[in-house]
Amino acid sequence: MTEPLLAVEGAEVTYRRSGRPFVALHDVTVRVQPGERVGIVGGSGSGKTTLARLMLGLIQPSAGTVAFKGARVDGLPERALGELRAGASMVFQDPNSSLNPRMEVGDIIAEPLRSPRLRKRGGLPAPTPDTIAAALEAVGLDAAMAARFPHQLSGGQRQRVAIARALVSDPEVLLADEPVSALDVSVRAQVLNLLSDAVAKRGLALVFVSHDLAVVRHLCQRVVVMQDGRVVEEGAVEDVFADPRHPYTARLLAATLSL
Amino acid sequence: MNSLEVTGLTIAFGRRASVAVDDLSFTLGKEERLGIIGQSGSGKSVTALAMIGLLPENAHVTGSILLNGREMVGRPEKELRALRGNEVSMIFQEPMTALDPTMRVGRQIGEAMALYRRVRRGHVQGEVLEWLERVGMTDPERVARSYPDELSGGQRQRALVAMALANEPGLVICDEPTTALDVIVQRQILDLLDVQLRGRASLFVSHDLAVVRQVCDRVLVMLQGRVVESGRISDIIDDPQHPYTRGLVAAARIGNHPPGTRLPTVADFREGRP
Repeated sequence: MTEPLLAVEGAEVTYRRSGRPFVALHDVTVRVQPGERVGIVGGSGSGKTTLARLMLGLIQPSAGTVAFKGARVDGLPERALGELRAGASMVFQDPNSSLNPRMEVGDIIAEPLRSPRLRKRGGLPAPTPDTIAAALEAVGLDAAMAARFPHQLSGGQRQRVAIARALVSDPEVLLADEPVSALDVSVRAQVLNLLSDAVAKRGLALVFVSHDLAVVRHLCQRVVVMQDGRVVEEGAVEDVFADPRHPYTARLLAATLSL
Repeated sequence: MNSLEVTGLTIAFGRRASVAVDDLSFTLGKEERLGIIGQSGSGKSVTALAMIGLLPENAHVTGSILLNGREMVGRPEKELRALRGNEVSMIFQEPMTALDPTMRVGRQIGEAMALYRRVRRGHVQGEVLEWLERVGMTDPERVARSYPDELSGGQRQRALVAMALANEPGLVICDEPTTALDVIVQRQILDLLDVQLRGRASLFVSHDLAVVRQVCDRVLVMLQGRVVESGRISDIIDDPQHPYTRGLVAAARIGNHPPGTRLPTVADFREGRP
């Protein structure tokens, strides 16, 4: 096996909740290979978002390690996270809070290109109007949207802007935390098509966090099922969905509504 | 008498009078459940707010809404307030914003009860606990003592259901009551609503046909303020007529498409491609 792109090994994460420690992740090991599409599923409070934030170096483990391309990223100061910041992008659940309402769409998309840390890596296009227009068109938006503010866009358009921003720095892995949960069924398909195209075209690895198993089945090759901060089941998407081993996976599957 | 009779309802906002709801008519029987399906901006939530008289002041409303035979349009706020809670109540989408974060949950539910019965809050304490139990709380006393942020999303939504039903209204409006919840909790809340809405009329607003099908028999499909299709929900899912509805049904059937292939979108159908 090749070296994993992202590797979380035996990680524990502890939060303080009203003064008392609360263990959000217990001994979690998840590895993501280059170009692999992994779904992380579970109910609210299962630790799936904590795991995604841990992979991005946004929180620190209280035990265990996190590595990006073989190099430890846990315990490092932000200024030493250049490789990770350049190689991993995130799309958050709610574009209303992940896009700065005071910035024009063009500036939002160009911001990663202005980062000295990302520029140091080289190979990034300059943040010119042409680059921004191309980034907007790649997510199916009109280049003229660059001059608009987030509040002038629909929810689906805002989420596409967030995806354009995540892709503009040409990352190796895209982490998406419930990127379609806040969207109408009618625009969900557009955003899913866009994500699967972008990932296929660029050979990106994808970490897709969701409670919606139908969506994970459509996008991912492998699935990790989490409950109460632990990985309870893991395997190829088709196997896990056809023959769930853990009762919690079976409950998730049974609760999923379809037409 | 029907619970609701809506005729020619038109709702416009602001000076430029952008029309949110355009000539809407429907009836809702005493124990009937009606779903309203539509995407954001379709007018479904505005319709829901109109039924309970909660539209903002800049809304210009024409047409008629008869609640238990009485006209709601043009009725003064003071009289509307008397109808809310007793005859009609609402379950909102986001329980974190619908509940007061600074007040214990039991006290909030008690306040809603006491307000309409003109009794002191202390007199309804026992009933508050009873309702918390009825909506499936395993430890009603602890929940009653908790602040909203100390509860899980599912518990908060259960508390809202208790608050909406505590005065036994004949009509309950549900506006996307499970959208913010995970699948397991969503299923629990839908099962709870299915039981608790029995014997009442309800209007159930959602963008998700699969959710509405769990609770309603009949559905209106709204697009840009107008009803484009209506009927039994099973018929509409099996044989949608309007291009928009066809798109909605196709987009929701994500499991019918091989993994990684392109999913149909609503836009495909509106442009008349498939």
